[in-house]
Amino acid sequence: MRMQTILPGFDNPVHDAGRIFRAVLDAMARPGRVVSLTGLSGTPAGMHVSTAAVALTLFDADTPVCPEGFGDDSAAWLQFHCGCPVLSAPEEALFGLFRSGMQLDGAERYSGGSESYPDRSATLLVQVDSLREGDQLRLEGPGIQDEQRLAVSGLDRAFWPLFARNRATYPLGVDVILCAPSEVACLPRTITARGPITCM
Amino acid sequence: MQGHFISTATDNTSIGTAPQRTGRQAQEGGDSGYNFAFLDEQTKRMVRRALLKAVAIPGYQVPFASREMPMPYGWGTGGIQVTASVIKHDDVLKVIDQGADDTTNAVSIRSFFARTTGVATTESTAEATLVQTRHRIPEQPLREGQILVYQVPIPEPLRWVEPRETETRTMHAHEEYGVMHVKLYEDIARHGRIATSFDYPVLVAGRYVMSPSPIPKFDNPKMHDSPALQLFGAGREQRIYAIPPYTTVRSLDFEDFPFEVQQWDACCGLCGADDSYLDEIILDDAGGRMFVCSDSDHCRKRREAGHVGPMGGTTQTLEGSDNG
Repeated sequence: MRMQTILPGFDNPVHDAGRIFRAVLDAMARPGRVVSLTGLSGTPAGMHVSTAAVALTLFDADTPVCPEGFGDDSAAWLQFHCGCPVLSAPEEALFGLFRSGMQLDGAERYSGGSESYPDRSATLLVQVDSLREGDQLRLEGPGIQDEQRLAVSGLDRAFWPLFARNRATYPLGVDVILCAPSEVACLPRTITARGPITCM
Repeated sequence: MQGHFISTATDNTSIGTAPQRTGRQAQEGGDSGYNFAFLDEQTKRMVRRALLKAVAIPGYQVPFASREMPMPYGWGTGGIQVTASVIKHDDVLKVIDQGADDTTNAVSIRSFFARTTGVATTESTAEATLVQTRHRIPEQPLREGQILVYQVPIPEPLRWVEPRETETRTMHAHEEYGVMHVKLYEDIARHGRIATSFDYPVLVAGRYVMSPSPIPKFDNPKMHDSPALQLFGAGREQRIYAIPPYTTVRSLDFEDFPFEVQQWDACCGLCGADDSYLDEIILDDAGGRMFVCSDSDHCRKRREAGHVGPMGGTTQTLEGSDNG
């Protein structure tokens, strides 16, 4: 038995969730564009403000969540604020949460939906150190006029071959939200990424 | 006109171009007693998750648990649920019905959101951040950052050729769209041209055939590569779908019968526009008629800029006689 303090969620659940959702919608509609997500005073150890904000906005009792690399206090925080089932089985999760710097080999176990229902697929929140510097990528696909550049640091390089394989299964596949400490960028399954580090 | 939110709504219909905010409604959350934008947060989360998947799979119809709204199906319950899940208190909302800001459906929905959110409303396409539409895309090109929400009655483009949902879902899964071309071909065989003039099917991002909702095919080219985000909500049919900005939207056609839009011999009677979508208005029993812009904001902006159509003096004469 240990004393556990659960950190607060949004100051204003209705308007904060609305604001964060619009930012995420904008990021999903314009893949690779970095949007700022702020407005939380504290988060569980290892969880970025951006990740926590997206969790508070989208998770609830209908969304099984699989946190990978996070501690018990993160699971308790998620269950307290979102009421979401916290699983250790990626196959059944609608959302995956990856702590910064984690190996992402397990990402392939998440559901990509079915041919008839490609929307019944997981969304992965992958924490990174920064979306302002690091590996340079060029993105193409719906939502992008010509080409979008993206810089990422703190992301397992195995991610990009995985993401290319994910792209090849379109319209099936997972969608990814890269979460820097206070910013996110989205990589929906439609996106083709080209960079110096693909498929060694 | 006796819908219960219509009769009790305060007069928030903005006349003129400046976004308007009424004092009581400007407070955060709008009308007390309801959550911001009417829907509860649980419903909004469900709709929001559906919207994100819809954006990630352009043109694919995402099922969602559509709620009862305080208006009948067919009045835009799908569009309203999308708007309610997307709207923020600093948005500027425009609502149009067949292009016009001042028709019953548009006025009702605008006052519904003014009352339940307190957001500013406008009739100007340029000033709006969020536009909910029934059956038209504004003439003025949309810009980056704007969101266009369509009210959709029948989201399934294959429904007219295959009534079974299980079948159409499999046809989408297998990209089996030949039957759509057969339908268009039958038009040509019967009429000598593709006679479909509204709800003209499109192929989105090279994968999904999608219903653009009953917009005239005149508006189809505006969907292609639009800088704005386009969201579609069908309440009765419980479907949400989307087109991200800068996405390929191609109207289905044939090499020897290429897609083409409607054209008119006349121009707008009020503003003289010859490049906008025109409505025909019957003036009397003797065959008198005129054509006017369907987009009321576009028409007013043009008249304010000094453009006058062949019947452009008519309204002033009427106003003058009213005053006298």
